[in-house]
Amino acid sequence: MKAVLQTGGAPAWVHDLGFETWALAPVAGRPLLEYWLELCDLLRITEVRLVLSDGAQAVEDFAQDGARWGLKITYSFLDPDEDPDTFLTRTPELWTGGLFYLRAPLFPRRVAAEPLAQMHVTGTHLHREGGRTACLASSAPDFLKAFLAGGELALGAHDFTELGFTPEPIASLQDYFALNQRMVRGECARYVSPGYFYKDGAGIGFNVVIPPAARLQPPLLIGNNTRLSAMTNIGPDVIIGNRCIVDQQSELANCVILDGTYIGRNLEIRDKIIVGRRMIDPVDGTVADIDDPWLLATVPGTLRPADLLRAALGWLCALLLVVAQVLPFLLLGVVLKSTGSWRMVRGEFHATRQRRTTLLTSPQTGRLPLLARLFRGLGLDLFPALLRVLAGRLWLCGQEPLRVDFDDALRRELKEYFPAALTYATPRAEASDTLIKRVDALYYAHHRALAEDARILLRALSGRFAGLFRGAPEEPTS
Amino acid sequence: MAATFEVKNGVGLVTMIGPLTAGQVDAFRAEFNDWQKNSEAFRNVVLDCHGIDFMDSSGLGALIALLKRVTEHGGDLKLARLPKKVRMVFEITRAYKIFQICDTVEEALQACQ
Repeated sequence: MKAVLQTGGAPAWVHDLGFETWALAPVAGRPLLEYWLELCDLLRITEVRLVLSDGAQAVEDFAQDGARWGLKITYSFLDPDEDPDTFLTRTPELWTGGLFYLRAPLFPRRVAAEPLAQMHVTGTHLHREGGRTACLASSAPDFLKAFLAGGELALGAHDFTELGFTPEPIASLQDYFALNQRMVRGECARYVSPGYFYKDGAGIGFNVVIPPAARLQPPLLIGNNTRLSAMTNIGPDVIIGNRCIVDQQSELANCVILDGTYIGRNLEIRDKIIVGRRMIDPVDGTVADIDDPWLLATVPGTLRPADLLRAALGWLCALLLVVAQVLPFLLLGVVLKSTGSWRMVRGEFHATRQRRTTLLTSPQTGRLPLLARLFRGLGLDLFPALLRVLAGRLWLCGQEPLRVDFDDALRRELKEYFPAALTYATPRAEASDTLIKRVDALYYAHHRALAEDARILLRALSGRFAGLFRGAPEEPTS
Repeated sequence: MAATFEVKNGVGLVTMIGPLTAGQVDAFRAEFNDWQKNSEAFRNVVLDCHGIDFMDSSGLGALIALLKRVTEHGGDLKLARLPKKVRMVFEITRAYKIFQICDTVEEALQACQ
């Protein structure tokens, strides 16, 4: 039997939580997709096909090859506008040997109070939502042939309780909140792996800092790498995700705090969902974005090992460039300043790790005097930005730094922000418009790699050098 | 942020429109202080918050400073018609414990008399 899990599609409640796909929305601190992958293992399914659409990269980063669950995961892509069933009907012969199919965002709620044992799917089990098949498990070739031919035959199909679970729809933030509360109040014991337990109503992850003056009142669930400060009061009915910080004297009860959230000092969070700087009332779905890091904020994500390598090599390259440029910059800079043929403007930009930095930029356009062309051609105008790279405020290669105030909306939109001295836009003389910045930023976030950085570095420096002979700066290119 | 100041039934009524954040609080506080100095006819103040679309910790600090100033002059400050999003900020900061919040302006004015 093979499993096909559709991960595309994000209902409104998923968007409100800030996710592109329902598959990664966490329930009791774990992505929804993980519950389905564990279920595949319990149903003795080893071959899983994840059909990606929105948020494809994030799903692939999370599930990888499936070895964590003892599964072999492969991936396919589907256009967000396409009907999910078309993926199955493209190659029906692949699935007639047995199929476990998930079409819609559902939660596999386990019926028994104890963890499930492994079992085989025999017969056909079907769950429908809105008149269509939402979840299907069948080892009956005749049924599958009819289903894949476009028929919606429910004849002889059972529900999933025989398999020990029921697919439960999550239609709203209220449902999502209620599901999390049920989990923390005891249902999560049904999903724990052998060797773990949830008897005392408190599940606490790895590397959690709990000072003696913090007070914990079960039931509660706390993820990994989370820090509670002194005099905090956590619980009951609290779920805190990974990488969260709860500052001093704050009280949390009956709430869900998702990954990477900072809760400010002396706050009282009750009956709420908090996602970074976003506060949600699950009862009426009100979403309030708090632009105030004293209250709520997003904790920056941890870097991937490849990003750490990029950071280290980028810093070394920046050091080499600074050493090579320091004398020419000082000499030419003094001459250009005295003649007034080069102008640099100070601006405030969003830097790494939610900090801000001032940068000198040169807004010159049109034909430049020879010395100014030499200054620019040798990349000496980048010298102040390279110093910021050495100070850890910028990356060497990455996205165009976003201006404070002017680009705040785009900064909030970007989940992965790598402000850099050298970018796709570096050869251009004038500042990019917001659309080009957004496209460049999203492209870089998706394709970032050492090779891409090398390409940006070479393109930026060679573009500058070519401009030395051309006279006028390059026109913007997409 | 724009604020209009008037006296209604012997109570000062301030109607606020727009965000109340770090960028606006100084101007608002100065406007309020000038108005209060020049108007001796009232002690109690009602803030109609219906038009506030966002408030941060600075805005909240400004309201607490206002409360302190009004109570020092022997009056009382009441808030009326808090929008849901602002009410949520009041909830998490526990500010609802120090302000009296009314559902309507009329209710707040009546409570001041």
